[in-house]
Amino acid sequence: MKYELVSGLETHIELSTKTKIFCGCTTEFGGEPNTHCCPVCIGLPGTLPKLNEQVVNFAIKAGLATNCEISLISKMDRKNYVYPDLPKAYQISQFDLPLCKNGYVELSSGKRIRLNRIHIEEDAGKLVHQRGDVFVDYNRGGVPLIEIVTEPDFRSVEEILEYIERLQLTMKYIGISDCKMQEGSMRCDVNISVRLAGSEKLGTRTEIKNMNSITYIGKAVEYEFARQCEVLDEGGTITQETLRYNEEDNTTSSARDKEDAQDYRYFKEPDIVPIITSQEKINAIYSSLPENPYVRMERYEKELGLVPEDAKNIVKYKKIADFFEKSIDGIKTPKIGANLIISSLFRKLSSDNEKENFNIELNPKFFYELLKLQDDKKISANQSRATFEKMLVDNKSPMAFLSEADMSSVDDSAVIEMCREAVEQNPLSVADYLSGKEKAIQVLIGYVMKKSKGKSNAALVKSTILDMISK
Amino acid sequence: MKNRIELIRSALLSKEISCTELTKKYIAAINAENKNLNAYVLVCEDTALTTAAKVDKKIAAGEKLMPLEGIPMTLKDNICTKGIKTTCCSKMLEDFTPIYNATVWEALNTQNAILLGKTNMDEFAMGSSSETSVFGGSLNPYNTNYVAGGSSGGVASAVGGGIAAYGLGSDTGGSIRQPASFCGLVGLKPTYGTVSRFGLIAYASSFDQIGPITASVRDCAAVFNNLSFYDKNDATSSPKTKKVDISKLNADIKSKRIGVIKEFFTNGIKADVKKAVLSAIEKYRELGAEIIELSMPNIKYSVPVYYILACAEASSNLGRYDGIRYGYKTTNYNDLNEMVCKTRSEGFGREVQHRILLGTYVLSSGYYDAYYKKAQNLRQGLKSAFAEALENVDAIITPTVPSTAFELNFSANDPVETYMTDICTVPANITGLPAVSVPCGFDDKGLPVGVQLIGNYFAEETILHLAAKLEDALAIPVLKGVISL
Amino acid sequence: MVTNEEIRKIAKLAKLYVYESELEELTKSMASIIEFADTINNASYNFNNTNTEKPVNATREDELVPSYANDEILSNCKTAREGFFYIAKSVRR
Repeated sequence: MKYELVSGLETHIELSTKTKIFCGCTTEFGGEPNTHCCPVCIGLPGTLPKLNEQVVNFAIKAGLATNCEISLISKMDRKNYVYPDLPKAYQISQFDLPLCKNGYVELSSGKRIRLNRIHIEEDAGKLVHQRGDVFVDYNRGGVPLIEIVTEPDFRSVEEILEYIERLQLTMKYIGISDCKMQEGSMRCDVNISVRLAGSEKLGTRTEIKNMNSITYIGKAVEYEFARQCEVLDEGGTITQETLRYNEEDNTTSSARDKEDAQDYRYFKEPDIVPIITSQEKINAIYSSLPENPYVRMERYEKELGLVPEDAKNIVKYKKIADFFEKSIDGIKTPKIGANLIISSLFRKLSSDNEKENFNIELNPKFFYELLKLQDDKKISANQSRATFEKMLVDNKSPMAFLSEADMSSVDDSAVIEMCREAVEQNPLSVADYLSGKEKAIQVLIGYVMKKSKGKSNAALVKSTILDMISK
Repeated sequence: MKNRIELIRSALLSKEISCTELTKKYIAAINAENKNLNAYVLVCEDTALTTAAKVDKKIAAGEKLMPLEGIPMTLKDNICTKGIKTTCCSKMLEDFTPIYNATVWEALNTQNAILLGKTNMDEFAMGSSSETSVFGGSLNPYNTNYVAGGSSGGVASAVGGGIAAYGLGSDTGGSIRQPASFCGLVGLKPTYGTVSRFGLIAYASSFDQIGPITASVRDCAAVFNNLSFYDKNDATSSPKTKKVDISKLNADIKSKRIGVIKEFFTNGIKADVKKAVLSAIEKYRELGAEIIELSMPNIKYSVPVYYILACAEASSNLGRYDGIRYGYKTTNYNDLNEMVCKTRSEGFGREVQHRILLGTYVLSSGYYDAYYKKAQNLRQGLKSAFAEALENVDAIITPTVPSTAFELNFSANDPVETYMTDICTVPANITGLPAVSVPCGFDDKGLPVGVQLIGNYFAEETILHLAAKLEDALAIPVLKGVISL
Repeated sequence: MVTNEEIRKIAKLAKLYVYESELEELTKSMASIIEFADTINNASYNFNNTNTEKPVNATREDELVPSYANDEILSNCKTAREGFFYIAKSVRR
């Protein structure tokens, strides 16, 4: 590759506090326009902001979960600019004393994407376009945000996408945001520049703002990288500008008129007093944090014996993972629990939302009982699955669905005997299989399963039968 | 005759006059006098009489009255009153009606204070004569060829002219104390953080404070006590506010130490002002206080420091006025940007625009360090200098203004010369210290001279005590008493 | 000495419309005001920075307070429509 991609990300995440950052209005998404407002968040003359304590707590959590230093002394600043979605003509943000600094997010390759800072600020209202007119709705105005800024450490689209995924899961895990890109509670601005591979100097960068789809971020970066390479190849120069990504034709184009770069005239917000955080408070918040999801995934693989894919898919939904861990305490092969979750539970909770919410009555004690039976080989995997599916509908102990007879184990010799019988009783199916009809084996396996009332190990049955037939 | 609040209160309780009757007399006086003084911009006859009726009912039922209940008063027109127009005397807010009450008004309204109306001010509190008001300047009750002062000129004119018992103004660089001084009244700028700013339409956030303008020191203390409390809506509100014990205002001052900043007596002070202030200092000596000379060579920089920092904050605070959500909106535009710019240029007067431009300039990239940052450092230095001085003295005495009331239209001539007249008042805003102006004499034209006492943080009682002693000793007659009492 | 061009730029930043015919006069006025601000450069800087106690951490609990009704929020806006504030026919950033 002649050129190298150099990219950084700024991510805005809406915090899931009950109320806005500077007033007691709700942060609830939606609602009729201008019905979640008060004199403070629409910036009426004479009003003053009052900082929501929970916003500071959530930001500290975010910082601790990403290995940041937490600033013991912090303050708010005014970022002055005029745009109709900003009622005071300034955004109360943080300029030179952000709450968190110098953290990192580690990717699967071991590479660390360095975080320059995390700071808190207020969101703006929303412009609404209708029939050629522009209106504004300030419901979103004042919703608390954290802004997470990386160093320009990304060198590939894959790294960017993995970072976003990791950031999303980490923030969801600590419970500070639902990070729903499609609902706008997580948005990314991407900076992109290119340089000759091996060069130290940074090229001129462009910025693509307000992206809220991972797929489109990937496409936008690819396009912009290619565009910049082409410009440089033709001897041109890159203009520093803000771009928008056009979904319809997968291109980027200029988003702003050519005008002077904004002068925000930052100065300390005189209406907000300094934010002093004690080390005790930081320690308390740190100890309240749940296990990092990626550390959890690794633990599931290494200590619990799950395959990476399963570990990832279970950990992804914190409530399910918490349920899983409660249930497998004392089980020798936790993998069997994972299998049931991935197959039956995930099928029942088919959508992402349903898995997130885990809104199902299921007692971990009952699940443990079921797994114990399977673990001790008192029931087969098939029986276990069938019982579990009944439990998902009717939250009872597995014993409510299994009788004594079901639970006698079928030993291997009995299986072999039943296989011999299957082969003898179904010569046509044997002949079919041998002549190439692979599906015919199911008849023979089915015979054994029926005979053993589903209690035999299907894999063992199949291999035994195949063994017998091929002789 | 000066302690109007006490006078009115006892008259009401003894049923010498009903609250309704008293209110009607004040309204009639306003209707007669306001054309001479131009103090009021809005008269609230109906709501005043409704409240007066409530008070009369309570009196008839023998109920106890709250400290400021039934007293006819006024609010400077930058204090938000729900349902009552609040304009900052600017075209920009000509029709603005707040949907909430300022905390101080909420408190006084709960006490059934009789709001006679809203009074005139320099536009957005930016000025020293009230002449930048879109309604024109308020006039001095002693001589209407002179201004009442600014920016709380309307309050001073009304209180001095006897058409309000007391009023609340706001003080950012001297806007309570200077008009009080010009109109022979008492004006207090409390310690920053003592009186809630919630609902005060902001000029400069780290300087603004609301405070009383009254006919006497005791009235001032009484009003202050009902304004100084912690407000959870204002993050800069201090939990340390203290009330003044009015019974202590009479006590001996033999052990008190009063500092005099010599730099205030050298440059630019008018001769008769100097004479009146020096004789006030002499009076303190007679009363037993020790006078100590202080020097603060940097004090003259307090004026440019104030203008740099206050205008910076103002340029940001006034950014929200764009015609979209409230206020004046231009009719002549082609696109949004033009609409916003023209609305602001047409809605704001000249002085406001100058201050916005200065504030924008000192915050802009390339100039921030040279102006804003440097001024912040100087501010810190002035705070230290005063803190050090106040370790050795109980209060610092200065002239309130180096002159008496300006002639009409004087301010318009040379803005910078007018800015420098703030030299004695701005230090209290820069440092956040409490400061009170009390009358100490007259100039040769018969215009009042005021003397200022600056105290330590939360030491309103100390400075009001000293002010009360001087007031008692000088016994200067007040221009107007309470109507019909 | 501040120039016309600088004042034009600052006015643009401050969103104030200055007619070309007024610019000269405005620049003159601003020049004397800025010159006045410049006088701080003559101040000396030897003092100790004593920290006067001020409130810190003035925060509020994350508790819901009922919002204002839509018509109150819009009450001072003459061009409100269907619950929204009206901005313009188009907005250029």
